[in-house]
Amino acid sequence: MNEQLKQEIQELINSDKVFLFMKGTPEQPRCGFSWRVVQALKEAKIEFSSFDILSNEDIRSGVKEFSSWPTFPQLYANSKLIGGCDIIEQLSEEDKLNF
Amino acid sequence: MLLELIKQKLSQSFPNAIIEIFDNSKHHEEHRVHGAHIVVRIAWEGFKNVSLVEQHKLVYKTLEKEFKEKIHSLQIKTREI
Repeated sequence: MNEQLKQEIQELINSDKVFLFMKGTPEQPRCGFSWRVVQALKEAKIEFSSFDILSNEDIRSGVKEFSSWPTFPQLYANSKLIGGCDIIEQLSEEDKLNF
Repeated sequence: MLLELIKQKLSQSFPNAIIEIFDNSKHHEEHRVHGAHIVVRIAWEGFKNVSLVEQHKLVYKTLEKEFKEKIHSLQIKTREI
């Protein structure tokens, strides 16, 4: 991955305390798993920023490599990967979804 | 066939783990063309002191090839025993 793309991704992740790479937007998720993470965050009253990876193929493939994580959504908190849908739902069930 | 292969690979990566695998594809018939929807549950001693993110990464790594070729979505639940 080139340095510029890497930096661009890092800047996105750093741009908010909680950041979500997802398919679609929080208002209009375009995948069931992205929808479920948005719901979990809303229920936990967690504010977040997001990026629609369907809108940019470079970012989409770059983030997968950046994080060594092959799927979306991907949730970051304090610039650290927290996980995908399964982990977020597990944390939510265990009442541990707080950043 | 795919489930057998997945089971075999996971058993090698996570020796003595309790592994459950389901094919959930029937709930996604409309876009099954993209590949199978697989659910795996793994309880393994080796997950102790390993973060959830790293636990899932180990599963992705084990099934990297299948994930690229045959699996459309992989639902993972891991825990330590």
